[in-house]
Amino acid sequence: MAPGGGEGGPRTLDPRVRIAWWIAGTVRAALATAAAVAADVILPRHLDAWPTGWFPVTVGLLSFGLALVLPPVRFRRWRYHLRPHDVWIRRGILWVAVSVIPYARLQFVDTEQGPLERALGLASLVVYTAAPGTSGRIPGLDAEEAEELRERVAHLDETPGTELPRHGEAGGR
Amino acid sequence: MTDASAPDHPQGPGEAARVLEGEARPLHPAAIWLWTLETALPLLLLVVVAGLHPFLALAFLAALLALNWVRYRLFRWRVEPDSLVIERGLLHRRRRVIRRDQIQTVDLERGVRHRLLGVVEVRVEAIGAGGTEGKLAALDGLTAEALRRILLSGPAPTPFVGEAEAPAPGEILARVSPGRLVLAGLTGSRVGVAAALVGFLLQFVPEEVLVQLLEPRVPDVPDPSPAVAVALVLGIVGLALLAGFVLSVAATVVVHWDFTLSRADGTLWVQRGLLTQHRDSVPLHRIQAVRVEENVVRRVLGFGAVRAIVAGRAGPSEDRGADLLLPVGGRKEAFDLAEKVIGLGDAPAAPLQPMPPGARDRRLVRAAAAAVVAALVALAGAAAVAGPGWLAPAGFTVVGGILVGGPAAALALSGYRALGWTDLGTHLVVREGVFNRRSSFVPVDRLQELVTRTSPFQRRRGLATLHLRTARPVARGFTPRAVDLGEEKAEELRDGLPRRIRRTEPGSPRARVRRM
Repeated sequence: MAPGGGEGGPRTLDPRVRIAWWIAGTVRAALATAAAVAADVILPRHLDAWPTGWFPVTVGLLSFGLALVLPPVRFRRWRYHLRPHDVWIRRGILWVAVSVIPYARLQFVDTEQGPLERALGLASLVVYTAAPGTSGRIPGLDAEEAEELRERVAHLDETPGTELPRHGEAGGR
Repeated sequence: MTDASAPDHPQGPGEAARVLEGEARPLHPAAIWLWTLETALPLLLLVVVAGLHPFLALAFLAALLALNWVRYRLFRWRVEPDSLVIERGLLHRRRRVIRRDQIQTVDLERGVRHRLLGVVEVRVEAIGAGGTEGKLAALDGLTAEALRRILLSGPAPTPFVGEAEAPAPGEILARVSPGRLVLAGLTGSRVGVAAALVGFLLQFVPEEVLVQLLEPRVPDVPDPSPAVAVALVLGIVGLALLAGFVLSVAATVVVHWDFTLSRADGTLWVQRGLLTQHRDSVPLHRIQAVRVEENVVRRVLGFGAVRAIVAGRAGPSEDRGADLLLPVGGRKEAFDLAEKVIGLGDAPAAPLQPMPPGARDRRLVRAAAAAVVAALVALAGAAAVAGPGWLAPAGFTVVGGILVGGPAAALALSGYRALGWTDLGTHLVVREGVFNRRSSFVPVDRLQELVTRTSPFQRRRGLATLHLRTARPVARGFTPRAVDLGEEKAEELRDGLPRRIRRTEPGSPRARVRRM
């Protein structure tokens, strides 16, 4: 799976991130179902027909089902690894993407916290290079650990062949 | 003011020295007219179309002139040792500071209006969070040239003393003749290709079918046989298409008139344009990758175009065209130019390696699937139309399948053959594209990030697509990629290439915190 090196192998996210994903998924499912219900009620009026009922039910089942099932699957598939020279991130269930971002290319390292994440004590680590858009995002990290990682990555040595400085304690996990 | 080419060398020390001096300078007064003209046209439309009273319009115009005069008086720009400062604004005072070491391009533009008034518009683009941009609506040519030279020469300007220096175009890398430009328009325009395709296909449609299709739609004309009416409609449509086509070819020729690509020091210069003259700069160190594009028609004729990814260009560069290094050229010319610009120089052209056979099989399977779908559709159609009996539907199914399957298979094979890659040590070359074959040259030192993406279908065959992400503008750009590479090879490159990148970014990454 992942190449070795660094401190231990690739790591998984904090299990609490599943809760965040469940909540977000449920909200989205509720919205989708509501929209489906609205469509099912409004559209037939224009066409002089009756609401069928099966459309919102299908949408509801699908969206709530996905909201329930996806988070644990996603959680199991997510991996990240801070290797000596680069960040390695693997994400995706069916369509899998593995990103490798050399430390030599990092321009910004952000920690991000939405209200949901804050409530759960989680944070995301986001790294940016000169390529447009977010280069690498590691969601669902323990907030303290995310801060720690951010500081480590931000204080990289300036010598060529940049390496991630060794950390005193392995911390958690 | 010279007309054919951009303004010639400045008056030498005087002009440049004053630009350097750092005193706040105004724009050329013609700016007042330019700003007013921007609003004059819509105003004219309003008068003509909406019946706005002419006196009212004139009064409004006069007020606008006065306003723009004030605006002109309040506009100041100056060159400091490490930045370009622009101050403007009437009610809302704005001060824009552009760091000189972040300035990426300085473009000079002369539209018809500018030429009539004898001025030049200067646009400055810089990288940095947001990509600041500065615009000087009107400067006289000498000042503009001096300013550009100073801004692009680096943060520590060298004073102009002694003899005047002509802005040498440097070494000319490519020059496109009008004939070639017409060819570019003819072969490049999507409208043209579409029109050609439509025309080609229409030949095969029997006349009766067309008559049947169009007859109900043709308006009631006093006489005519359906054939005449149909011919009329087709004629009009055809003329419209033709007009559009001719216009787009003409537009291509005018926009790229006398396209000249040259190199001076570390910058490429693109000079082009008939009505609006452009002189755009492309600093070589901002070029992330170069691509040779050969669409179907051009490939047959042996021509190609060359485009570059230039990092940090904020805003729409579509109309600038400064990332187009060669609108059209012979195949060898295009590839030689691409290799030269990207730093491969005279290295012998290395052949591209093909992708694993699994990539071909994937595509053939998709073609087969398309054929099956077409056959089923034909079957359904035949069953609905032909009625009882199995011979006709069977025939339709087979014909439908072959009609779609044949070309689909050909496309699949062509798509596979278009794929290719090679690792030249300092550069990577990847190629893909059926209708538009794109060969991308990416220096390893320009890589920002490497991503392998696999779909479940690719994983089944042990394939993966490797994306070579470089710095690039958000507005347009492309990510060179090796499609359907062997999974092992893709991972090897993904993990190995980053180690070959030599660190160039000064300083550590900046840490930030964002709360949402």
